[in-house]
Amino acid sequence: MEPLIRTEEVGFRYNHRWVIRGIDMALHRGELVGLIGPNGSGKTTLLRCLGRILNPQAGRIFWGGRPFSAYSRRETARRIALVSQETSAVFAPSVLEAVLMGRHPYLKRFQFEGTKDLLLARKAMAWTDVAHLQGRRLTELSSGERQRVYMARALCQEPELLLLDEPTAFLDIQHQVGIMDLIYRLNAEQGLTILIASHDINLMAQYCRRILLIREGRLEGEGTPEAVIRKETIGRVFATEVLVDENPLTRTPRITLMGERERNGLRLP
Amino acid sequence: MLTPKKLWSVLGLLTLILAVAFVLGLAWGSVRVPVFQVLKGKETDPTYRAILWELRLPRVILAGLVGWSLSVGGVVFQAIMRNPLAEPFLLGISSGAALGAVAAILFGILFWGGLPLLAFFGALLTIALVLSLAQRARTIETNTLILTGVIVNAFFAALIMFALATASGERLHSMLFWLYGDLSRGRFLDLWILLPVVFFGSFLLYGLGRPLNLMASGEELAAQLGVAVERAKWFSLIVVSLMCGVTVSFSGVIGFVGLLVPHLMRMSFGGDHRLLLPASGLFGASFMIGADLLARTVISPSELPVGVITAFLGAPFFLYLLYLRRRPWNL
Repeated sequence: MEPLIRTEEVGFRYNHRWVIRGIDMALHRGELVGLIGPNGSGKTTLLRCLGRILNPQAGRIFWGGRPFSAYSRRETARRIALVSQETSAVFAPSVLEAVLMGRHPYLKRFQFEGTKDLLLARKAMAWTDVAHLQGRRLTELSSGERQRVYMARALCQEPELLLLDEPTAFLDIQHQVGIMDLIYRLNAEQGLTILIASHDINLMAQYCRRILLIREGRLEGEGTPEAVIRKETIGRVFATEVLVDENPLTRTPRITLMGERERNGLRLP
Repeated sequence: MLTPKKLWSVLGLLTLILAVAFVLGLAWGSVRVPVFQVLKGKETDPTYRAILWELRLPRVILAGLVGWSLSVGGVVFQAIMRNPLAEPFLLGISSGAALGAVAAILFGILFWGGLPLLAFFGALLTIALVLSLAQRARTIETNTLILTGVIVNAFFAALIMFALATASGERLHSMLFWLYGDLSRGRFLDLWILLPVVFFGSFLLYGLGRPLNLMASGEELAAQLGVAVERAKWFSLIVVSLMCGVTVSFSGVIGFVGLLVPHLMRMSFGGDHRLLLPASGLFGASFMIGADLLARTVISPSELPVGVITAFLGAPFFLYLLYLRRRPWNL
């Protein structure tokens, strides 16, 4: 079956430094995939290329078998939504206005948001549980609330593919679980294809059925959490020794960080 | 949320304010004409006819167009630079135009069109210089752009100071007047150039209403939602600079309007650019007509440069804004 999105030897460079190189990957409809890798490994750049914010200088990206260049920006914006790490807004819109921005690719130049757009925005806000905040300014919200507003905006975009960049960064554990459950439900109940870039290897192992591992701009591994999250692989890619055992609830791999003391055997059984 | 109903009611209100400002701007001045004489139009008493329709009308229209274009330009610049301190003169069109005008006065090029033409060339050269210095591989990083503009402004200011220091008498006076904004040169002939430029420019910018909303919230967001960000930036920088470059060439440097009016409108009616753009245009025009009226009447029969009035009102307002910024959502 033709994948939803597929990259072919994709590379992107800032000036002369290649941030990602030779990336060959594909996402199939209905998948929930985690993207992990060290700082500066190119996770965000890859996400931006897939979200068509950056144009890769090498290789091509195919949507449903046709290259990106066959679609207008508006057309891809109706299919792919990207929620990136928080941006500061000097002129902060209200929550409802921020969510309605997701309708932009559907509206004509001089068209106003109509009843349908408003309905979709309310539905999206209900999904992410921010409906009660709709009149507030973005700057008045906590980071957890803001993250949920950005998710609502992405849903309002009615995408087929949702790209999430560090959706749980800066969140406490309650909100981490809240966001991950939301992501899980969007995938399971709405059939949304989702790719999450995250530093939280345990959360990715717990929620995603497939993991992509990236290092220095290249794909280092991919497969089920069990196949990718192994002591040697993680240790090599992150240059950090870890203990890998099993999450007692989900039977998925779980890592524990090992510091100097643990490596010297003080805390190991 | 912005609805067409809100849009039209706000614009209706602001049009009303503009109409009042327009009539008062015609009626009042060193010679006060009864308002009903203004409303009579062509039937005006012959004693007032010359004052109203030959002296004041072009001047009031010029003031309105200048206020309109600087305010619209301010809105656009603040949005694309995501900077509440941005205004159309940030990139140096004012100092470039000033240099051209000062040169025109210095070399005595004072036939009709000579001064504005030179000023416009000055503005054009400056914006070309700033944009070409600030771009890297045809992309514009806004902070680099702002810094480049500030530096070029400072350099040109030095050249202008030099010209001022060496000029004397009548020339010095004309230069100073131009530098603080001089609407007294307004003639009908100027308006035939200004009117189409301002209206065509505003129309083009109005099409950017929703993209500007997105860009004010972040370039990545806008790109993600399908806006061709770099193209929109180039387009709006060039349209605003041309539009304001032309107006500045006829009016001189009138500060603070392009900063003050957008903030006032944003605080009153919210941050949606589909409303912000026309509202700032309308209110900017009213504000400028009012400021010019004060400039003509405060020390009548002498005149103040209109820039003195706008800055006199603008500076306290700006301090007030800075005070409010302690509570960030007020922007």
